[in-house]
Amino acid sequence: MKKANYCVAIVFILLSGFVFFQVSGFQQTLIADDYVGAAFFPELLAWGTIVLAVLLGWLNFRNKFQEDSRSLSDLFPKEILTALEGLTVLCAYVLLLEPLGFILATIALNIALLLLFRVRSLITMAVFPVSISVIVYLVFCKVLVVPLPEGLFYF
Amino acid sequence: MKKLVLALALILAVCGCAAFAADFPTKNIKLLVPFAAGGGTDAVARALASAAEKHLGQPVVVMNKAGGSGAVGMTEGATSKPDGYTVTMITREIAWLPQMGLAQITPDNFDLIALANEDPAIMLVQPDSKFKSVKDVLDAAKAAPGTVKFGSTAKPNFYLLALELNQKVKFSQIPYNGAAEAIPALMGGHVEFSMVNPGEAISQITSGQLKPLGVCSDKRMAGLPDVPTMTELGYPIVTGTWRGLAVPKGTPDAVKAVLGAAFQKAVAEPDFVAFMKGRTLGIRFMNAKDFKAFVDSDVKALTEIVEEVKKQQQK
Amino acid sequence: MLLLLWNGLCATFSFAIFPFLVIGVTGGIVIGALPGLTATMGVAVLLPFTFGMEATRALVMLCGIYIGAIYGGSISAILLKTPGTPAAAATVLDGYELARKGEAAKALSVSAIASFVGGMVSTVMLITISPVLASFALRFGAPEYFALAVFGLSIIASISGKSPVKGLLAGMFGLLISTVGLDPVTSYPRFTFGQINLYNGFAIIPVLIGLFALAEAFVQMERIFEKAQAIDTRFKHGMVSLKETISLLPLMIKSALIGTFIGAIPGAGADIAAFVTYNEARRSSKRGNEFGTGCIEGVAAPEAGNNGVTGGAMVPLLTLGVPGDAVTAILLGALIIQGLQPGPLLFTKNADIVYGLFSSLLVGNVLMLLFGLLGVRLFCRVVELPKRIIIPVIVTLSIVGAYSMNNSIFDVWVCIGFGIIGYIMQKVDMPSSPIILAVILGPMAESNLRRAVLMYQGSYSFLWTRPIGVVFLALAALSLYSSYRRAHS
Repeated sequence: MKKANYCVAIVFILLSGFVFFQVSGFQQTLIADDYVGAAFFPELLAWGTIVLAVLLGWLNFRNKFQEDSRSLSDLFPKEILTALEGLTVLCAYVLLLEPLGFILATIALNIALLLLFRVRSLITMAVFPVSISVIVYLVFCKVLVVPLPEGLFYF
Repeated sequence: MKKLVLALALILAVCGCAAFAADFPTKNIKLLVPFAAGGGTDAVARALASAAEKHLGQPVVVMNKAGGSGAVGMTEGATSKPDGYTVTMITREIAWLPQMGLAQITPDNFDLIALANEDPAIMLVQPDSKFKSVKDVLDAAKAAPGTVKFGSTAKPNFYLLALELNQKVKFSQIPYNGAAEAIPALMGGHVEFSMVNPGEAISQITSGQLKPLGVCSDKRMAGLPDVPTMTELGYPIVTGTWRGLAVPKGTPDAVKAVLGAAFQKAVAEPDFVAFMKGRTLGIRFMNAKDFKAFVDSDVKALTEIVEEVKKQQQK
Repeated sequence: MLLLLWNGLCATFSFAIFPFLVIGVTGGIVIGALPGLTATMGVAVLLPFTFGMEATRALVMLCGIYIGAIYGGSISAILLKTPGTPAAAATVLDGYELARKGEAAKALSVSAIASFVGGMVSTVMLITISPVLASFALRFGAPEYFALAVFGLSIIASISGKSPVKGLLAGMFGLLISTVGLDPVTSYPRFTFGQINLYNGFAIIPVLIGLFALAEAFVQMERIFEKAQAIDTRFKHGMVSLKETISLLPLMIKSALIGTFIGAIPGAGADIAAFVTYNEARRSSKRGNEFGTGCIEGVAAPEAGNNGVTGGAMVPLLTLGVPGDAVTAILLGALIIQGLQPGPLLFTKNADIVYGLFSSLLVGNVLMLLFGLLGVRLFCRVVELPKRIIIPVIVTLSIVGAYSMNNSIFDVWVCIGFGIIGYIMQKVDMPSSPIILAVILGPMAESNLRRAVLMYQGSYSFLWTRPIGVVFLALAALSLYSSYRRAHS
């Protein structure tokens, strides 16, 4: 955990640095704001972030975070691979959403997730993905008239 | 099995032909609204959509795509497939977003279909305000430039800019997120005057909680016959907002003709007329050609304002 | 007035009105429970259906959706850690922990009762003292809103869990996120990298769904093959007892009053009220240290608070013709379409409709309680489903929710991005609710500070010369102080 805390502090310091860099490029628009300006608030926040991040690093150095001897590999065990695979499936789904249309893509997503979770029941595999996709589609598109992506076959 | 495949192929082929052979429209038409559900543009779009369905013979589905003063939705509309199935409700923002560098698209990226609505700006004060007339407001601003507090509904506010440039005055512009925030601020006395569209403040005007001083159109409004126009008062300022329909550039002429005819009938539907009257929204129909000329002249007018402001800032 | 109210009640139970109220409330609960469909969206989408209806019927149905949806958000917040609406974001803090302990039924029943109390108290306030509330709400100018936002932000310290420094860092991150988009005064595109989808900043719904629902789904995926489930899956079907309910009643009423007050201020809505009441419950509770670990007060307070907003938000709508929040902005449109002019004249000219509305709010809240309590067992089934089935459901609903708010694939990517951020934050013990609070309040704080400075021509004197503002700034200091004391006790 100690290493993780240092990482967090560094990430936030880098973030503030990025904010300062961006803010330096802010320009005047048609509307003048002579008092506070567009840059004031982000700059203030970036300063606040740096102070807090340094504080976090210092408290961490002084071992102020109790009961935590977890190492980085405890925080990120090899099981995170399942989560990463899930994320990959999800990203593929979003890419397919517009070309394939909501129903087909969602059936594919659910089958992929069930396979990933090693669900073996064929009945579940067949019934569940189709029913959830169709139910969600009907509730959103037909009952509530909220459009969902249409693909190849207009659904 | 072979038979089944054959049958399926046949069905597909028939459907396919039907889809291509039949007239426009054969499926849902999307009406893209570049503002969030619940706002004024959304309300006009939804009323117009339900009025047009009858004349198009297909459902018109309203799709909100808000963001960046309309830039997000209108960009999506301009870059969608030019087949007439995506109609965009374009608003006056498209005439100034490109000049501000906030949008890559201009009205030229669209083929215009029709203008549906136009509303003038109206100047409002509190009923017990020290300003009794437009003249009082302008005199105060001339006496002490940049101090009279104006509650602005948009950034930049072209109603105010038109007034400032025309009368060579300067106000202190306090920006709010739309009329929903600016009107309570005016009622609470946190700003001294505001300019909004009549529909946005009609309840306060009729109940006497806010007082209209002048309306920025060339003739008096039917709903508010007692309010003088700015021109009558000696300040020739005509400004307001408008909303119309457009499709992406390159849409077939036949499709545009169908849409144009349908929306022309839609704006005359009794339900739509009653809806607009109820909300004090002005109906103004223009066909594609007139609408194009109208938009071009508005772009020209707003560009002049933008240039003028830029020139002033450089001083 | 009582006679008018009695007439209203009679009308509400008539065949012409009652079915619409039932449809509205049930529909609202479903809409609220689905992530991504908020009360605002539900009312906006169903508005055109009411165009042809008679005025009272239309208003009753829309108000039913409103109160139902604000309550419904808590169901998915408690069961799935997915707030159905931003108003339920505060309910996640303790509600989900209760569900994890096997006390979902208790949390759900308390949420239904608290929402009922919130709705009832605020409706009574609406009926009795709305003119007073309205004139008070109008005194809120930019300096007051700024102070209110600062007070709201001070709550970050109290929802930061074990390590306040990390909570505050998360809050800073949330505030930085809230500066993305067109600048509120000058319209300069800040941190947008030429991406017009970012001009309005990050939409709150995708961020919310990503940080809570998707992040949790990733964490659960990691544990999907664990043999021994760490969570107590034996399900205790007990609802909250009458005794407990009575002991929670003062807290609910207090939260409902705070909610009503916040609702009456234009521009401050149910999401803010939920966090403010959660904070106040924690500050005043004897067992404030247990908040965040599954404390029933932590469900009762925000739920009473957010439904308290419903009546409050109607105050400026009906008396001034100014909406109190996003939902009432649409209701304003609905009133006008029906040919009614909201404002002081409405009470004299259309008293029957106004009192019809009041009484259906009262009855609607009773219906909400009824459906909520009857549904508890049904809703609880969700927790009993195997994780391998629930996770695909959550993932699907998350994506649909993120997409449908603005029909935007970009928002779906935002949602996934924040899902990853939320996942990593869980790993490093960083709370994610400060981000939500900051994203809600950041724009309010910044734009009102800048407005106030513009109004005062560059002077900051409004910080100490405006009494209401000073009170809120003092409350902010008090809130920070009490979190500090709790952390060091």
